[in-house]
Amino acid sequence: MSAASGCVGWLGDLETAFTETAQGALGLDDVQVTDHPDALAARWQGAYLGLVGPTGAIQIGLAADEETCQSLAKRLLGMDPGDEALPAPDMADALCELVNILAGAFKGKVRDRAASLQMGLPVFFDGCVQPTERTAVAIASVRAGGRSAGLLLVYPRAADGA
Amino acid sequence: MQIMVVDDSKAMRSIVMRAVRQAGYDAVTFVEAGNGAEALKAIRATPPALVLADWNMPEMSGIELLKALRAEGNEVKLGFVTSESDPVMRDLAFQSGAIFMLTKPFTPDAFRAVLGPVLA
Repeated sequence: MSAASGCVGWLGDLETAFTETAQGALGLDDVQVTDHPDALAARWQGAYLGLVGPTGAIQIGLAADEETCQSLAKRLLGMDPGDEALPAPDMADALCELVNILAGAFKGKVRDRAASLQMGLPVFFDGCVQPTERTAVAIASVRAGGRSAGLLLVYPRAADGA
Repeated sequence: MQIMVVDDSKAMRSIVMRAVRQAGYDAVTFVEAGNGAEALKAIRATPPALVLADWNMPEMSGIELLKALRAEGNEVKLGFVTSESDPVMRDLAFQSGAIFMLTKPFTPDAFRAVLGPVLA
């Protein structure tokens, strides 16, 4: 990975990785990318995970409202939608694991451009992800299982020429 | 027969145990560890028939666990269950003594395929 690699183009790889992850880990075959908004909803939750290469790092993430996070976590755990809500730590743990699986699929998609990416450990967040002077956030809105979520790609701002 | 499941995610430990049972191994008992260091301590005390380990974990990773075991002369069977599918990491795993590397997400059938030869 380098500043010239155009990380923003990797959002498509993340979308493909999510489609595969949703099918393989959640049993969802109806994933659709619906939009590429500039910002996420203000109070979403989710998990992100860093991928570090020799010359830089990116983060990928998955975010949604609490109800959808519960739904995704239950699906991953093989629970029924009507089952009692998971305790917050268990829901966070499941979301982190889902993003871990997503990151593994994403890493496979970009292997030809970034062979030496090292995966970090996933982190749960509650709130919004903001761009900074040095980092930009690319977002893909997705629908799966009748619910909306967002895929996040946080990357060095220099990489998109900004 | 005892299988140790090593993963920092409680959710994933639960998913792995369910998949092993669904693969037809109803009679196995499980012990759990949250990272390689916990697993190493437990394996020294009571070696299981098989260790199923994640790769990326805090404190001690799965590959560090495997290397530590082999460095002590411990030949317990260990397979990786991980979201990593990098060929370089796969090579490293097998060179270090892993018996298989199963990529997440997995199915009970995938577990049946790798566990069959190991637990026969």
